[in-house]
Amino acid sequence: MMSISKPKPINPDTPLTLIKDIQNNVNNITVMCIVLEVNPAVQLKDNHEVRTVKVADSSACINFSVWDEPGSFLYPGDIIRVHRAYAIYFRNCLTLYVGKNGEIEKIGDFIMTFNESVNMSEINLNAPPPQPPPGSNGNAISNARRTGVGKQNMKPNTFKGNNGKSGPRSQMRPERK
Amino acid sequence: MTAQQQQLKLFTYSVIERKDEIEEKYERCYQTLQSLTTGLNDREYHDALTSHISKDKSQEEVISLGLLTAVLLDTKNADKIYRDLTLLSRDGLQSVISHLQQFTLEKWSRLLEPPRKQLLWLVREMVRNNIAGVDNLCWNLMRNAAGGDISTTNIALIEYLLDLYQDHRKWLERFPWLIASVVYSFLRFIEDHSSLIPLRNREVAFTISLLRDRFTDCLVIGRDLIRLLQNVSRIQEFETLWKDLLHNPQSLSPSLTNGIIQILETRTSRRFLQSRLTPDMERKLVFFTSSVRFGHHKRYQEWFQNKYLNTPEAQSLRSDLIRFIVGLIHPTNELLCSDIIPRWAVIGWLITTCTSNIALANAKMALFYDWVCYDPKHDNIMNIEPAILVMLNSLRIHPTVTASLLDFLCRIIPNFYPAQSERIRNGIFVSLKQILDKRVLASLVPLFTNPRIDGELRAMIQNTFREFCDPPAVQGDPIKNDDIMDNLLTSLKDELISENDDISFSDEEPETSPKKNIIIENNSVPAIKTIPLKVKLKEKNVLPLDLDKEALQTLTKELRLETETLYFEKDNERKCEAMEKIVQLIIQDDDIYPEMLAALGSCISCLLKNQIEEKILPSVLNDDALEDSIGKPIFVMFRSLTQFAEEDSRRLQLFSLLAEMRTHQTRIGYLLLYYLQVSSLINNNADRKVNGIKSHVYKEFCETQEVELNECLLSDLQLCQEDDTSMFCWLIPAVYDQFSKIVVGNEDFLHLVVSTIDGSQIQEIICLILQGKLSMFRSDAVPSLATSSLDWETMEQYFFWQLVSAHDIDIKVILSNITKLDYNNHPETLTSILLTLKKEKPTLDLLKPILCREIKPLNDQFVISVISSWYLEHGDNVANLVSQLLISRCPVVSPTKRKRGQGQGLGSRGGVAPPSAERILGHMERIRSRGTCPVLFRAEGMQKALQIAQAACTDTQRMLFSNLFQLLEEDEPHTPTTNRNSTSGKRGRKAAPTFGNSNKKNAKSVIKDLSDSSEESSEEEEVIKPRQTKKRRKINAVASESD
Repeated sequence: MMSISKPKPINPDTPLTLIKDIQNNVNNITVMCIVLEVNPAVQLKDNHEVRTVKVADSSACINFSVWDEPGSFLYPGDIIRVHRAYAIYFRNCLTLYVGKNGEIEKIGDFIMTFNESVNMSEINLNAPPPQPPPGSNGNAISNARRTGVGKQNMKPNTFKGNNGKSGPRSQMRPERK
Repeated sequence: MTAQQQQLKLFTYSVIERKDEIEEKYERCYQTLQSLTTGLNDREYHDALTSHISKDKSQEEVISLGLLTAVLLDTKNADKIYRDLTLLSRDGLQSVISHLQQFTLEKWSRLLEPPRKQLLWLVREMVRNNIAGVDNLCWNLMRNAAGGDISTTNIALIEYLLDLYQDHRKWLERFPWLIASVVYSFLRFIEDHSSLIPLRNREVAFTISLLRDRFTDCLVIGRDLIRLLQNVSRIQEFETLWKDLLHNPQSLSPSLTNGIIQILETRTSRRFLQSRLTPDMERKLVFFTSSVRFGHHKRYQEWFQNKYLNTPEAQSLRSDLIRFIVGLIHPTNELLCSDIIPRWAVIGWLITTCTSNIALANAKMALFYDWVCYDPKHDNIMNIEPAILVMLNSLRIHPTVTASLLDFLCRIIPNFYPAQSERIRNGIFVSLKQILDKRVLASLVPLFTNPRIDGELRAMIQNTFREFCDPPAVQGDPIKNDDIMDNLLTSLKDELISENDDISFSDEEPETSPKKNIIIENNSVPAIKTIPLKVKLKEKNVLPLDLDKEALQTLTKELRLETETLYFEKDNERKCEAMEKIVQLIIQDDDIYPEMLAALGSCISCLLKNQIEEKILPSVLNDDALEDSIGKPIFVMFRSLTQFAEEDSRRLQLFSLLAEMRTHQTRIGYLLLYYLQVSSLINNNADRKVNGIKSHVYKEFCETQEVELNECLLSDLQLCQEDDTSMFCWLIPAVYDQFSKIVVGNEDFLHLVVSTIDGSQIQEIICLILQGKLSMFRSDAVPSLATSSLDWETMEQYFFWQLVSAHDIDIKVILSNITKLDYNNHPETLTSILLTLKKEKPTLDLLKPILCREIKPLNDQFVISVISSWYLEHGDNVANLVSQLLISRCPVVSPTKRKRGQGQGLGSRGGVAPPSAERILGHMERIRSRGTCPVLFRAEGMQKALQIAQAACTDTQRMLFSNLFQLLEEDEPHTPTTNRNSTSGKRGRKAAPTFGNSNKKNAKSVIKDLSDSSEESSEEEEVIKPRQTKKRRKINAVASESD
């Protein structure tokens, strides 16, 4: 009833996952972290934009791929909680995403220590191939930018995930089960 | 509903922010209020609320919060709601005020404009009504008016405060401390508002009138009042004030007898320094200086700068921040020793990023402000320490910063207050001396004469601070000749001690090593100097900084004197005497208070810190050296402990004291162990009784602390291992000897040992074991130890297995786990066992468990390697053993007993019992396919065994091992391909049951495990199935004949 409408409450007590413990294909985790860098938004066709945000907690740092509106509200120094997140390899880098029905929640700023020396997103040449086979693999960003492939079925997307439909996310990265 | 939604908005949120608990609480209260009162007229409204509150006391807060929210939201009816609030409140609005404090301290920046206006309106109403506690609220509110910020919202808040105080001057004058705070804050605002002349003029007029009327009240501010007045001194009204202040101070305040110097000598009370940082800035700065590690601070600096320091007008904030750091952030010694960013680095950053010259000069002044009239009695070394460290530590990377600060320091002596330049010079000199005395720096020479500073400036420094540039300074009282040597010695000794003291200032660069310099100079110029004198002075007066002074004060006079002697006295004998005296005092006094013991424990552990922390184990381990090593005061206390009879209750006091000390100095535990061991070695090597009593001392020590002996022992050893590995290794045999019940065979202790020792230490330990002087585990513990060792590091496991082999453990014990070890995951253990087995003679007992190992994974070469190595060494003996085992596992049983006849041995899962024939064959098949010992299979016994096995096989198995059976000598009448038919012909009538569970599934799994047979497998199964029953009969026949 106040301010902005919020999705159904997410249990704040869900145990936090440390960034150092994030592995390929983990799903439905909650991560509390501090934003270190927000890279410029990459515009996709169909009014979507995606930002790579470097986040860290006391254990390690990782790249976090943020879609659309929420990304424009993130600033270095913000402390956020990412609910229902998952991680997969994107271009050989382990990357964190907001999962379906997941959410980014800003809970403060500045007052958190972090460890930048362990980077979970360091390029791993032995990274497993993206999950769904060709067509929706990890090279889609560049494809989408260069050739516009993938714009056809992009739909307006809220920041809370893409409701399970084949939005841009399925172009960019494999859908989670 | 939407209208109401709009109404209920207190805070701003971005898309990714959520309502927090505080707001939800306000919301709930507001809703409760609404539900109670909608549609009621005034009278009913009031009655409804009164009756609701009277029903339940907890509703009081709900209603007052609801009303407070209503005031913040409802502009139109605020008047009326506020009236209700005052009428209904039974605590004189105190709960409302405390909620408003929360708003102002934590939520101010998030508050939306309309509620913020309402809040200010409410504060004004409360001031008007003289509500108690609103003065505090105003102070908090004023903190939100940031310095260095001329944004409209900030200016609006300042204007509001100015109006408020002007309109309610009478009210304001009732709170002297608030007057001082208002003056302090507005002096800062005036400095910021040079571009907002109308506002500034009002501020000036107001502040001047407060200053002139209430100067005495403002004196509580302290020296920072002068600093701020200096910053605004160009404004005409302040110029006039300055004139009065300089020439006729008593016209301002009769108590100002000593003029400006009197104010400058007053240390600024922290509250004012704090008041110029917003709560948010304060939180961040405190976090930054208490939790962020040096080297990881760049991003925080960036964030802080972006948020607060990026505008041109924000330059003036730097002085406030520096004053805050200098005056309020006083890190503990623990923090100083840690890798948290030191204060000088933060200040260095604030200075180097300053872009305005005026602000930079003000920032430097802020940094040195406690120097100018420093008085060791009232001022704190922590206020002057940052400046000297900024200068010292900037030398290498930012020499210009050091140079400009040194230049500044030289220039303020004549220029800061020309009429009193002697006083200022004295203040700064006292500061520098204090810095040396407190060992912030051991010498200023490296700083003042550093070649990185340009010659002209160096000359100026030389001129100004001659006595600090020149270690053999000429001034000072002459000393009698016979004191010289003594003094020189103490000074040298002191330099050595200072190496320990200096650890507390972790930021000293290794490059500038002042301590060394001064030692050399003292040696080379053994003239009569003042330094020794100074040193003596220091020793008389200065206790270590981290000493709990209060604790010291709680001690009785006698105890205190002796305790202090522990620290000040140089002579070890005397120290020990003092310790003895302390012990006497404690045990004589039967009802000494526990608090006293606690205080004493804290003091002793602090004062003896250097002793306790230095390396105690002598490098040469002979009796004399060991005896010397326990000649320290701390060991005197231990000695007293051991000298009491066990039932003497007086020792309990001492134990409590030790337990206290251990909470401050964890090393006490292992030092006690060390003492007990050394003393027992020296006293009587052979006397076991003595040992017994002594380990009892340690046990009792644990009991006093209410810690389990094993936990205490483990943690003490752990600590010892971290501090001093050689002492740890030295203690191990003793600990294993005297606490054998706990330690021998204990996994944690063993792991601690193997994780710590190095090559020479394991050698020593193994030597002791071989000599029978040390036993770390008995054979019954080995299986479980081996299991836990699987999680250890490779080296640790290897050390463990070396210890196992040193202990002469029966190989059978080791083999009890062999089936559970995985080739790929437990390489260390398997390798070690392999090497042990290689040295053993093959026997049936050894062979059985080995062959029980599963046949997978495919790369598992353990069994192959064992058999092969034995074969190479012992030849046919192995063949015989294997065949013997195989034959024994191909039993002859009547057909009726078939499957279960031989109990668990028949299954393909081996366990500890002898392996199944199928498994043996599996291993043999793998040995065959490896080709490591072809001759093995030709041995007579082996041939026979294979024949028997073949006969006993099911078809599946026979297919599976066909390659193996092919090795049967030529004269055998069948070949594997024909064996299904031909074997039956030659042999047999009796039935031999199949071994293994011959159902299809199991066969399949075995097949998969055997790489060689996998191609045939699928085809084979189809062939076999229909024929199975028929086949079996024929096999039975075969087996019977072999009997």
